Amino acid sequence: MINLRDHHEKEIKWKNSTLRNVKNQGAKIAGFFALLFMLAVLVSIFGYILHGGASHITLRMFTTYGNTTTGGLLNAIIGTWLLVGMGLLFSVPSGVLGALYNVQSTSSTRIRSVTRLFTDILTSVPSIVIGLFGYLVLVIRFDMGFSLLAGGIALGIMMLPYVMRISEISMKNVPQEQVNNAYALGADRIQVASRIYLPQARAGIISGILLAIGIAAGETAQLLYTAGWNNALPSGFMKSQVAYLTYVVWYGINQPSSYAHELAFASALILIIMVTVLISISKFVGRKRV
Amino acid sequence: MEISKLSVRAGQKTILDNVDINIYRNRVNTIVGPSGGGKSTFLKCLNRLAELDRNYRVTGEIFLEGKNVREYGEIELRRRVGMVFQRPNPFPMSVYDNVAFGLRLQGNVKKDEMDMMVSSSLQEAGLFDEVSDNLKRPASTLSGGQQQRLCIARALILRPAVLMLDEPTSSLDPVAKGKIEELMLELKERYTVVLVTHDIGQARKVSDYTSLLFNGKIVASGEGKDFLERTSDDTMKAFLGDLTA
Ligand SMILES: Nc1ncnc2c1ncn2[C@@H]1O[C@H](COP(=O)(O)OP(=O)(O)O)[C@@H](O)[C@H]1O
Ligand SMILES: [Mg+2]
Repeated sequence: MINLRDHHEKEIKWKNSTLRNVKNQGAKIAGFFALLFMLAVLVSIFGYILHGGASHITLRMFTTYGNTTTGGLLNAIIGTWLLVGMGLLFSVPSGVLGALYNVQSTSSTRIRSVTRLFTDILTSVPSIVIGLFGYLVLVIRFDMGFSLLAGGIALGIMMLPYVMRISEISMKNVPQEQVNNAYALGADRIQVASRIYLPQARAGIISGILLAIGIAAGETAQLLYTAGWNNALPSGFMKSQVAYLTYVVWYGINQPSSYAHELAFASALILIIMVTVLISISKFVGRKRV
Repeated sequence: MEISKLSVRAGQKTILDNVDINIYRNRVNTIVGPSGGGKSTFLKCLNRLAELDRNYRVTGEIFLEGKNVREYGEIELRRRVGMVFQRPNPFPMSVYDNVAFGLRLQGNVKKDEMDMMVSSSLQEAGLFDEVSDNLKRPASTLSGGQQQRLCIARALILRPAVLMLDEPTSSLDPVAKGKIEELMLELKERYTVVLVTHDIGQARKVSDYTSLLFNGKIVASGEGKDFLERTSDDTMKAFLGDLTA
């Protein structure tokens, strides 16, 4: 009897495995073509921008301020980082704390699924809508004007779900037994967060932050409504507009000046290098086991 | 410790059902029983770790040194009732930092005092001689048996009154297992030991008081190493028969 059943199970396993093999082969081929397609797209984007941008990049672009049609890009480069930095200031503490809350809360799963829903919705809100919100609420209602603060918060809103989700995922990977053991040794919630979750999830949190920076640095829509443009650096957090690279791309390309086009291509090149580097680092950091 | 009418429910399921047990000072108190019988849950009630899980509803009384465990703060209770988990799970830190963990949670301890506590805990756990050449090595470089003794040292640094061991040898090889069994006999000189195991042989070797936990119920309990043979209880016999056949 038992032998018979064993034999039968083996046969089923064998059938399943051949079926799986066929499926695997199909998936491999489809995956290969998808990869090829993505590679082609990436190479042509890089090639196009390199061709348009690299030849026109001059040292002067990195050392002088400009107004998108004349001068350099220094104000836009610094402005981009200021805006991203401000976005980090808003998104990292709240994202990491939110993730900690979600993994640690013993409270009802209902609260957790509601926060999950919010982060999911937030990731898919079009950036132009966040821009509009920023304009109506931050720029007008809170009277910040087009400014570093308004732009930074608008970017922060966009970065928050990335920081939070990736932090949460890497915190979920911390073995529950270690968490329980820390409690069993008399740790309180905050100590479990600071001595178990944060150090062990550090690599994941950093990779989430880098990814969020990479994405935020390349955003335009919400900044159009909240940051404005400045031919120099902003003079304060509020009511002083800020320059940023994507604006140069967006604006310069429509100008009837070849130098404006060159600036636009140069900005695009700088952006794409920045984003590529950040996302590569984020992958690398994320993979490293600490 | 005295445990009376301890019941734990999770949803519709009854995990522990009216458990009455006494835990005797400076003895190895053993809970044996098949997997899923509620042994781990029982231990988690003694240090109120069960409260971390909102699914659990715990009723009944547990007394530590005459005082209800609910009257201790959770943290104070957990310092007095130490726990070692089934699988060795050192934190990803050095040997030294692992052992020091519990004491550091309580605030600043002077370096020489900490050094002393760490080495004495490692000594009590029978690990000191094997690691003393380099306490800064990552805990993950130790063998499974060494890691489990490290976890014992980590619990001992708090000088608990009671040390609970949840199937501490189930993932270890026979040699490492033997070492921990010997260790338990030494530890009971200074601590009250609560051992959970599904290994009857282990209970025979080390146990002073043994209870059989079956489907959430204590179905037999008694004193002495040969209790397991003497028992006339049918469930106990069936369980023993199961394991020895
Ligand atoms: N968090 C939980 N929620 C619901 N049921 C649980 C939970 N933890 C354990 N159980 C159930 O309680 C029973 C006893 O588990 P456990 O105490 O781990 O037994 P043992 O340690 O004896 O193997 C098992 O049937 C298990 O499925
Ligand atoms: Mg168990």
